[in-house]
Amino acid sequence: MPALEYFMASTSGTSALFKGTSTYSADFANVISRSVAIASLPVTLLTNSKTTLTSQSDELTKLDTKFTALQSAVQKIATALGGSAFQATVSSPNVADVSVADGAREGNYSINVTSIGAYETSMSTANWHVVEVSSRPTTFTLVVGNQNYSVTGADNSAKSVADAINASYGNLVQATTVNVAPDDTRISLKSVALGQTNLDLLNIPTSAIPTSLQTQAAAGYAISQTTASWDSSGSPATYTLVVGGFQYDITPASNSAADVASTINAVDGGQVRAAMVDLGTGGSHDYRISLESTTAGPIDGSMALDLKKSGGAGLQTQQTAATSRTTAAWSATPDVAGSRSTYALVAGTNKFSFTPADNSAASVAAAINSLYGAQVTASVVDLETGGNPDYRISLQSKTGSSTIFDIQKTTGSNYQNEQTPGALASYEINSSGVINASATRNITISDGVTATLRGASGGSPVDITVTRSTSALNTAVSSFADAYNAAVDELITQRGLSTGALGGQPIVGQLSSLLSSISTYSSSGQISGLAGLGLDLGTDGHFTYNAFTLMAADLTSSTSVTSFLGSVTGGGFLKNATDILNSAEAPVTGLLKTSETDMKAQIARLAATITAKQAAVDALQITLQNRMAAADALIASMQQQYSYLSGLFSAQQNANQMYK
Amino acid sequence: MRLLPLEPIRQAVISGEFGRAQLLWQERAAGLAEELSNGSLSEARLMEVRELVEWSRIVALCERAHLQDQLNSLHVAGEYEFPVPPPAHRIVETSF
Repeated sequence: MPALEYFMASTSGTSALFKGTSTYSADFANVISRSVAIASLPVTLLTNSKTTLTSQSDELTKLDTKFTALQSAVQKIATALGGSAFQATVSSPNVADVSVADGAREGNYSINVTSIGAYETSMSTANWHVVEVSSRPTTFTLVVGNQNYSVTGADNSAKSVADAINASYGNLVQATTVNVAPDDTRISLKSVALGQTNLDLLNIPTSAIPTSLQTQAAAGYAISQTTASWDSSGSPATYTLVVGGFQYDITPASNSAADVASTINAVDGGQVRAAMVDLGTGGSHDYRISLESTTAGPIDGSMALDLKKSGGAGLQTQQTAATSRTTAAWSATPDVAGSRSTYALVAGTNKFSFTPADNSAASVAAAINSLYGAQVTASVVDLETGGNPDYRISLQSKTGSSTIFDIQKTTGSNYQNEQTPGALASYEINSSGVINASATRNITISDGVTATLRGASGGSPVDITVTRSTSALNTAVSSFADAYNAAVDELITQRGLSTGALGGQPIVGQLSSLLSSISTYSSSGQISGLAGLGLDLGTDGHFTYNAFTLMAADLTSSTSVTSFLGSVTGGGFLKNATDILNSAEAPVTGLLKTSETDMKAQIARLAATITAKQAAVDALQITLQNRMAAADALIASMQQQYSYLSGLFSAQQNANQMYK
Repeated sequence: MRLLPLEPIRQAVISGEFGRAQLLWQERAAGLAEELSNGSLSEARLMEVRELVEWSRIVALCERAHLQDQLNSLHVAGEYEFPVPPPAHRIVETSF
């Protein structure tokens, strides 16, 4: 029995555990009980403290539950403003389907679909039959978007090759087999993206030796490009062309970039070639003039290539000199039917394979710039003499390194033929005047509003109306009011005359202050406070919710309601309430969470102290019992001897009396 | 009589709008029947139509094959999904 209970149970003078035999045993038991009771006094105090702390911890848990419910109610308001609460209608469903998601806002949008685009498809030119070499499946080259990919099926059958393509490059192209006639099975490739993707399947023999097309020029070919967009305004001006150490004055027919470039090519003596380039994107033009020297190294001691208008400042910016140029006039001869040329850009020890749409220098340069533009810039220069074009490709390092660049050409067999050309989708949003091109039919109209294009709108925009349901918001706001009032009620039980376990604790005031910050949130918009949403704050600190007020506000100006509420992360009431509740509920730093953790740690420490002290009291009790038992046994023995001797003496006295 | 161009049908097929292509084809077919009946259907025109029909047939065949593949993929994906439990039957049902 623990000492404390022993003490509390010792109502009689006799110990429950100590039963002596001497006449003083009851006194001994009383001494033990008293000593144990005195020793147990600190344990009693600690136990009382633990009981108080446990009650406070239980109350904190209750408050935590209420604040968590309030946090959840705030989140539900955010959800009621999210994508699931919105509906979208389209005036012409044949043109687009519209879906709404989080971030959507009510409003009227429009989209004018010029074209829904097309996915490029290609099909084998004949029945698929590629013989395996040495009983090994062939490694084919799949071409998608000018880039080459290696594909090896389990065998050379159309099905195996299509499966291998789908397994490795299903994100780029969809392959399937089609029986177009009895005993005529072909592979059909369909691009996953809209637009021209140049789909093909090639078989490049491993024994094919690529032809190197470039010559290295360590001294470099000087190149410059107009620094800003070309200014073609004004009457024809005189330009000064700077070629190395030479200068030439030219007067083109107009100030257009095309006229200036053609004049340079006509009069400069063949030391430099000018070309007009368009750096514009998305349908807008940004014309520049590119100057490139025809010979490697400095011209009259200088690599400078510049243009000055009417003696003004230089218009060109010097670029990194090209260190590689095609050795001979570029051959753009088309491949014969059944074969196709593929190219490789060699950059130092790296080799990148690609297949342009055709063999022209422009297509090859465009493919290089598109695929490997981070490493190298390819430009086409026409070294024509006597009116005969002589196109070459120049390669400039983009990284400034002295890497050796080359272009290699290989010809292999090709099996596919374009069946349907690809085209980008084009559309205009909200009559902005900007025609956008897209490689997907899923178009973002606005944040959270996505249209899937179904057909062209025939020149007139279709209307998209996005509206939000009030009922979801009504339910959420009502739940918020209930959760808030429940939290207030729980805090009230900790105040006043009949205070709860947390009475007088600062956390009660702190939590009340947090609730007050939520309920009194104000904004400078059309709706300035929660009263505008039908949440009236009473003098007792409780909300009274009037659903009609919210409905009226939402019908009158739903934008104002949305603006006042804002979002959990963006701003407005929801962010304010979320931040406040996070300050109480954040797992590690929240006021309630830290208080609960501290309280539990304190209770654990007290329990450990009580256990230690109780053990000491128990040890004291045992020691006292042992000592008292020994004393009692001694006294009992003495009493027994005394009784024996006293009896002997009495008997002797009686005998003496009898024999007198 | 003005000949209706066949190019819009080709464009509709290219962009995958087969419903629109069919509507356009029905419209053109009526015109072709009229050309045939009044003897104005030239051989070149007939060749043009024949080429379009054959090309459309192959494109539609390929499209069907791709869609069949997608359908098969969806079927396989469905087989690997968690089975939806059957709706629980209530012992007591009430209605008002």
